[in-house]
Amino acid sequence: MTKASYSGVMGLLLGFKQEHEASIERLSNMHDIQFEPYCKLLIERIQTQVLDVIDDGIESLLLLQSIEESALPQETQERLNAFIIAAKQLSGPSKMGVYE
Amino acid sequence: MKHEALLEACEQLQISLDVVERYYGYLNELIFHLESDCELVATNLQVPNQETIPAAITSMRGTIQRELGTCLEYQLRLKQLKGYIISEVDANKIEPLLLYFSRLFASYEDTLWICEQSQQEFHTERIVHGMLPSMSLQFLGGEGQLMLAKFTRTPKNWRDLHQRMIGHLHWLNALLETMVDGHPLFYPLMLSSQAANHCQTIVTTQIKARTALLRLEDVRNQLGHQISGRVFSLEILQLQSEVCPFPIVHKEGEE
Repeated sequence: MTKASYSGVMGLLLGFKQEHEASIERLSNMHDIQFEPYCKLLIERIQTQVLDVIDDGIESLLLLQSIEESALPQETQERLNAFIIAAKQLSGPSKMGVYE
Repeated sequence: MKHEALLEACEQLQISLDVVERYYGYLNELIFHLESDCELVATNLQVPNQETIPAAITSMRGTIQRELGTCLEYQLRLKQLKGYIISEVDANKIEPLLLYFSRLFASYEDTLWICEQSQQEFHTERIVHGMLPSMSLQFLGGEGQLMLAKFTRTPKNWRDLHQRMIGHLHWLNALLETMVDGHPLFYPLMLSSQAANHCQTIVTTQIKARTALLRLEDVRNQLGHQISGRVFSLEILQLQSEVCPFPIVHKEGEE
């Protein structure tokens, strides 16, 4: 990835994060006792399976943006890129998996 | 007259063999430095496929030893031949020795011709055990010998070692380019070059890990709370586990 594309991906990940945070807020505001356990479960899933992954991706991006890639060992670059890819993949149709 | 011409040819060959012997000595010294540097890497850092490094260098050392042995044998037989010629013994004793040296005399003539050419010439090169190709001789007599001076200082840190590995890779690849395919030293040189390349990658990773650790600390100070998460701590731990202090190297005779 180039430095220019980092900011694009960063915008994308921040967008996903906002979307999921909004979903959590909506689910938190559901006060129907019938759905409460499901809402709690969904919120937990979004937090652990989506938001944590996106946060890792954002943090990896921040590190890659701040440090020139050539100064990082190959393995570190690969690990950081893997976090970003995992976060980006949540944007596809599979992101809905947590709601199923 | 015939004896004089033979003696003259023997003298020329003697000079050529002395040069080859001396250059094998330089090559041995270069290998010694390469071995000690690679050993420094292999024993102190976690190296994948560690066993391939000493194996490649041992193979190189073994080949040099065998080739040098053959060269020394030529010198011995040449002395014998010269003795026979001077004492004008029976031609029956001289003839087999002349036959023994026929390829060597031819190779000497070829080398002279190749050295006179303006461009690199590989087609005329004759592969003779115990001898070095003419281009390799030129390299070892010039740049190869100068390279030895680069390895006299003991490395003090990973950066020093990195520079030395670049030097090793340079002479290995330059010498490899002068080798004729099929020369006994060709494959050991190629394997040693791969081993040196492997070591250099490891040393580079070590240097990068140290730099990355420092840079990460800077980034933490700059960005503060934005990067206090899991990835940052994991990377710091990972890099700390990879970083290894440079071993204190004692030269022989040093306290």
